[in-house]
Amino acid sequence: MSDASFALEAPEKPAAPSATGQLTLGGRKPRLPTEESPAVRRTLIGVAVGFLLLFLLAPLITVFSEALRHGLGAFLEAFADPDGWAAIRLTLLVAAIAVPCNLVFGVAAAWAIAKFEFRGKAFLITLIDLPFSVSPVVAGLIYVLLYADHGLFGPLLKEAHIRVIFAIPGVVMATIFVTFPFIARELIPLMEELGNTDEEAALTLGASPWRIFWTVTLPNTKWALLYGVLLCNARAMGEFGAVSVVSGHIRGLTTTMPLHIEILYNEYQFTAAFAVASLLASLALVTLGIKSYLEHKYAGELAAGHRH
Amino acid sequence: MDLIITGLTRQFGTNAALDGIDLSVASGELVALLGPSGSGKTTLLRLIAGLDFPTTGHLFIGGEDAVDKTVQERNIGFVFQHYALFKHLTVADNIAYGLRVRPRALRPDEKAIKDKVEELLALIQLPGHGGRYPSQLSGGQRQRVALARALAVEPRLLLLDEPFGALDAKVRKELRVWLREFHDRTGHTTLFVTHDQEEALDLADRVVVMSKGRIEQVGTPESIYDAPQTPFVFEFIGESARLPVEISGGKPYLGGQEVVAATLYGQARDGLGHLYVRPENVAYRPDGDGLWATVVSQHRSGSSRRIGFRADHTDTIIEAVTSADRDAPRVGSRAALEIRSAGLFAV
Repeated sequence: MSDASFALEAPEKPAAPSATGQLTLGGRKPRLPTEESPAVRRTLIGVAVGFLLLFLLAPLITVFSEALRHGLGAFLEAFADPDGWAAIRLTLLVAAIAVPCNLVFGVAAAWAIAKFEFRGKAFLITLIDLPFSVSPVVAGLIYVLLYADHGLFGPLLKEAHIRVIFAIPGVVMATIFVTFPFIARELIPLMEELGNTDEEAALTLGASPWRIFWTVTLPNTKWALLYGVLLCNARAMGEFGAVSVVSGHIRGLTTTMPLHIEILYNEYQFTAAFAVASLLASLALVTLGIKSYLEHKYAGELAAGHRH
Repeated sequence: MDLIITGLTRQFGTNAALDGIDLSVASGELVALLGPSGSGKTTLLRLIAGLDFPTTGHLFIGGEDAVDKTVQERNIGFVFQHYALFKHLTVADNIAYGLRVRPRALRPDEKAIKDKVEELLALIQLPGHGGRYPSQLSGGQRQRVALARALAVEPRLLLLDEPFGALDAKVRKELRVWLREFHDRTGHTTLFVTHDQEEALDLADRVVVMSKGRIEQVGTPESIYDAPQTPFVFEFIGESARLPVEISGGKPYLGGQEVVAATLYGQARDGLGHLYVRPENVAYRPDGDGLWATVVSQHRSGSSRRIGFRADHTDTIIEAVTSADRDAPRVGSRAALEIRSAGLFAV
């Protein structure tokens, strides 16, 4: 008891002598060697907050205020446009295809990298990062070079009557390319850290590999997987560059929400452009909200997951 | 279930992690695999479990050839060093895991599983802890849950990989005593891996000392400690002084004079050799026959006193350990050493 109370008082001890006038340090409150002076602290916080306000929060507020500048009526009118609806539907469709694809690819790639040793593993890891480092426009152009009528696979596709470029398959493929790393990158470090021991334990208990995946591997990685899916989804809905190159901007057919926003903007329909933009921003905010909620709600479990 | 291993080898590239292992373990025995890191002891355990496969050699569990069997078919209980409990499952669900994953025809009904879990929780002295999660348990408790989970499937062999490695010293000791009693009660054929000689000598019926993928010696803890058969075992187990000697006619000589030991063992051909002497096997007198030496150090360590001697004709320090009550000899004084038991090996 006495030990505990001493420990509780200890941090305040340095202040006591200055109060009794024995040791004043020039009247200043003594601070820890690792603590910055108040001036430095205030400056740093000020710079960080100011930067965020100027570059992140202000644009976000502008999107919503511009969208609602001419009232709710004008805002809703933007969604009366059938092309707008088509863009929303296409965006959701593309995300609905790209995210599950990347979920499967990402889990497979992470599994291979984290659980096995094989030749070319370093190459595979670099390849997964490629979409992060390549400009999306370049990614789009590569698809055009490969799948357009005059591209490498063009004649083959034409024969089979499959249109990829300037059609929905191209939009989906470009989105998959750009969003590929999100899930794999979330999973690989976690799976590497976890190692094989839990799976081996399940093996010795007689479980089949399939059963082990569902009852051990997946529960162990579910939070990383969920983060990956959320981030992947946010990017899939918001992707512009690669999709812009392969879509051909055919209104009502191959324009996703970001492309539709650009078209509206270029046609000086500012209110409509900002209305659709605000919807896209809302989707992003919802994603962020879900992520924060999960982090908050399962903070204990997430922390426990890192302990042995 | 008994275990017979013959000529087991495991190559990793050109490197032999295990090199021709022969070992028999009788049903109900508690055997320790003891060795420094890299000696192959964990590889051997994993090969027995089926988590790894031998390059050559045979493995019979209960008389059946097990080499071609999968882990699941071998029905082995394996306890991992860091427990490997499923974090997202409660203690009860962890213990029941092995029963629930069985094919429907072999799966006990839910009532039977519950009873089994309760029975095992009582056995590991954690009744009422079934609803907790592994993160809410102490290290020692987690280790016992891991043991219960392994035992739930009624394994033919129980394999423990460094079972106390991640625990602090006090819990280690307690759990060691507990495991011995537990083994005596349940009678599972058990192999455990350890690098801690005290643990192996304290707990096991028999100890297998390993080094560089080979077995150095197999025997009871007494025989391993009292009569090491190789220089490695002498140096690895317990403390000893290594005295360079000349061997002639199977006897050690130092400076032309025979070093007399009441008991002498080892495999020594004539030539240069090493005489290994444990501190507790050295007595000293101020006069009489024996190996004459000069006292170079003395210090008290708890209840005992350790005295260092430099024998004539050598620079090697031979230590003796005596009770702390006995008066310490003065540093620089002379004494005759009497060696009760020593090992002699050719270089």
